Amino acid sequence: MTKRSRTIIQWQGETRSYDIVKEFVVALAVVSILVLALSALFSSPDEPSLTIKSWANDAPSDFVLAAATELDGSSPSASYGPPYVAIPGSGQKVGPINLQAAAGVRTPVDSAKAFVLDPLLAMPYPTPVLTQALKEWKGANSVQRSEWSTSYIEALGAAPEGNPAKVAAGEYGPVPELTNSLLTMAKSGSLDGVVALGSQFYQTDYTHTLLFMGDGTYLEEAAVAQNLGGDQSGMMNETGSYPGQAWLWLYTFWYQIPPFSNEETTIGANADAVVWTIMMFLSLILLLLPFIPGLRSIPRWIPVHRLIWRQWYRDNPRPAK
Amino acid sequence: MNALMILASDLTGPGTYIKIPLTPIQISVGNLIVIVTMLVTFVLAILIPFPGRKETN
Amino acid sequence: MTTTNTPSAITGEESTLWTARLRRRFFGGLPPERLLPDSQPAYVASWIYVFGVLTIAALIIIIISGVALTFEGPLWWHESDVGHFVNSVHFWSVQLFFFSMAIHLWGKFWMAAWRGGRSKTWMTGVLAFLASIGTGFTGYLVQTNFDSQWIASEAKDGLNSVGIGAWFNVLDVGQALLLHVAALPLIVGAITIVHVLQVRRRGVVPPMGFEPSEEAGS
Repeated sequence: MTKRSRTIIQWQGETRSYDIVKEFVVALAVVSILVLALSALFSSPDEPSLTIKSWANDAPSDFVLAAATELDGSSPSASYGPPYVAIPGSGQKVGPINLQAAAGVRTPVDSAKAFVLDPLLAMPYPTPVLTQALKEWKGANSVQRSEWSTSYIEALGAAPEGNPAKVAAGEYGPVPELTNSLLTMAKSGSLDGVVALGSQFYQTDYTHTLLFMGDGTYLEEAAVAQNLGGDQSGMMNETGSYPGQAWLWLYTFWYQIPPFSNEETTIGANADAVVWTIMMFLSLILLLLPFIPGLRSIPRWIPVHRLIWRQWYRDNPRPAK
Repeated sequence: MNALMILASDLTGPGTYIKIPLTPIQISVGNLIVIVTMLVTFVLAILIPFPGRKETN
Repeated sequence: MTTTNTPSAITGEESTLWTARLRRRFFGGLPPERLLPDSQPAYVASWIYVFGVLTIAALIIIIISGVALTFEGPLWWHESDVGHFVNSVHFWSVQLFFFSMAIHLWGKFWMAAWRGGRSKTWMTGVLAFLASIGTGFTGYLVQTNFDSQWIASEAKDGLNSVGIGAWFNVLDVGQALLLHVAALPLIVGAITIVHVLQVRRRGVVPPMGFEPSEEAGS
């Protein structure tokens, strides 16, 4: 015998005949039929991807604004912090712990360069105006660049419907030309591939394209229209009328209630990290339930088991213990 | 077949969302059907008698 | 020629061979009649008990349809009606998988199925649940459509906020695809197998008040 007893006390009482293999086969048949029927009746969702091309054509003003914020450094991706860009003091915190900052910048992205300047420089036949604009941008220092792009962003905000064509005159340097050329490139469809391309021949990484698209409102507006937004319990939902990931109900729930839903509060500003921590903690509780006094006694206090085993309890009065 | 045709519906159209009163919860009809079906199935699984009287070993 | 057939001499209870130890440990608790029984305790008489095997059945359909999708690549289902149908099978089997698993979980909770030394059964079940959610998540990432674009864009914020995003880049569909079709199914499969073997080994939990006492022996 080994030192630690591995005695498993098996049931010695009454048994019934049981065909485990048949049970499995029947279960497989039932599930197969259900799945095939559901698939034939309802199919599955497949909303086509958005592209930089569709973005530029459907929402050109939003595209131009996003491009300007890349140059300005104020876009969501440029001001994100780790893992994309090192920004001191950035990163969400739970109390004093800032795991986002601790993980560091492991997927470095230079938004202005990757999304705007490099694609423009890659153009095979740039117009003389564009060539001049690129030269002007390159020759300016960061203060000048910032002044130009920030002014242009403010002007876009003031223009009717944010339309670049209706922007008031001002000192914007080469920014309007850069963003407009980028728009033309985007509308033609040639920007998608250029932004996606990395240094390698084969690419499976869409970090650049998705970060760039996320810097405008186009992607988010399409999602909100389908009730997929963060404050619409979007995590649980699916495009169209299909059932979504209902099992994420508790994860998305926190985002819907204060203080998590209020970005003005400390918890709200760090909602992602705080909610993650809560969910990890709750998962741990679920995992360790057999060892948690009180919680593990709930099934005794609320005796649903008496319904499950009612036949057994009727036929077998409880032995005295 | 007609019953199937009635049952089959195009789920690609915009979803219907229901707001649960007095809560911040908004839920899609698709998810609501799944969750309600789960609860009903759970209750039925416990309440519906299991066939076969006990057979002694 | 003599054949030595003295298992007790070479590989008896006292043998410290790694092989003998592993065999004792595994088969000791799982003789064939427990692995594939033809009887079960009489108290196992409720429809609630079928949801575990329904979950496994759904997992098998998920795997079969998933393997079919791998043969044609991640973009096939957008271009082919057959491919779209296979994707639908994958989609609905996932819905039925979580449906059955949740009901199975509820049933096991109300039965306090961790009693009688069955805490590992419960814990492997919870791990299977959590691993399945992660696997499903990577599946949503590799749909290669608008839904995956949006889910990736949103999920990155959650994962980045706790530093995980530095290693698991949800915007990299290549990484997500490999996780989804290789690493994670292996993990889910392994946990599921351990979970089911735990059930076979320790038997279905008896009703409250009918736990066999220590004196009853094994």
